[in-house]
Amino acid sequence: MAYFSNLPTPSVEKQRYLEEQALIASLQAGDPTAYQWIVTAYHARVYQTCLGFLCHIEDAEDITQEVFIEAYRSIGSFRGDAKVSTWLHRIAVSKSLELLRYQKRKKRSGQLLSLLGMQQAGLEPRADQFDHPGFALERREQGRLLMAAVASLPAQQRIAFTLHKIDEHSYQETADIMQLTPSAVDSLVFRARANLKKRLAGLVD
Amino acid sequence: MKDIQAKKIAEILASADALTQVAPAPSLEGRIQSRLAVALQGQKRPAPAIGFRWQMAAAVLLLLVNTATLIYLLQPAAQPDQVSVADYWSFTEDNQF
Repeated sequence: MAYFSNLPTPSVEKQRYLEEQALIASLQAGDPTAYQWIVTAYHARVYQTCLGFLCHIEDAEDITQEVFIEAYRSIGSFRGDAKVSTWLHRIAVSKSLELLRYQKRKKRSGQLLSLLGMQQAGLEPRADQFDHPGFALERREQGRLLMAAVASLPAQQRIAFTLHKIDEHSYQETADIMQLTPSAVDSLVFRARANLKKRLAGLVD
Repeated sequence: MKDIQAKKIAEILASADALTQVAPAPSLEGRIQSRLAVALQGQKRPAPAIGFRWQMAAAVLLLLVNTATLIYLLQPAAQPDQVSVADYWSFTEDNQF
């Protein structure tokens, strides 16, 4: 948490100047200062979101970079109907899930190759072996079980739970990112908890 | 036994609330900034000079003319008028000296 309080805060004038709409206009105009600002302000949160989904430090770093590059590429089509931070998190979620789908496909083809006697390469340790650095040392084992159970949830429940519980977004923020209502998010988190209990019952003796 | 398991599950679920924010590697911000700087520089690359557009237009026009000429030249050559044998003989019979 101390990290976030140490982030350089823009001056009052700058903050005023960079009101959301002005910020979007600056980004659309290709203003390098605006890009520097959003990277400084949001990269840590975006990284946190990616890490929650990917359970892999290097992958989370790569996807965080991709998020900002994608934001630069698609700023022209951004209508400004959401906050820039919300929009960045939307990109982060979709990029992270895209990578997970790719890795799942790769894993399947790897298994096929190993069946055929060819070498299986490129399989990374995932949620069930990942020690999330956000968990205190004495909670690492619990954290590993939790992340493994979360990874097995249906997609929407996983997104809602990860954003709200692991990434600490409010219901409203999670709803904005998922383009749902807060009550729909509440229901998804509730169902996710129920499913997690069932899944954890199989993992805990 | 079930109580112990339920307690363990509750503890695991509660661990999500105890999760702290993780600071990324200090170099990450710099890496993003430099990739964006490269992308932004690419955006500011000067547009092709106006002469280039004229050259392109001239090349396209030349290509069109060449294609049209080729199509014209490759058309099957017009056959000379066919004269039937009967016509030939009627002509020679009418014009006997």
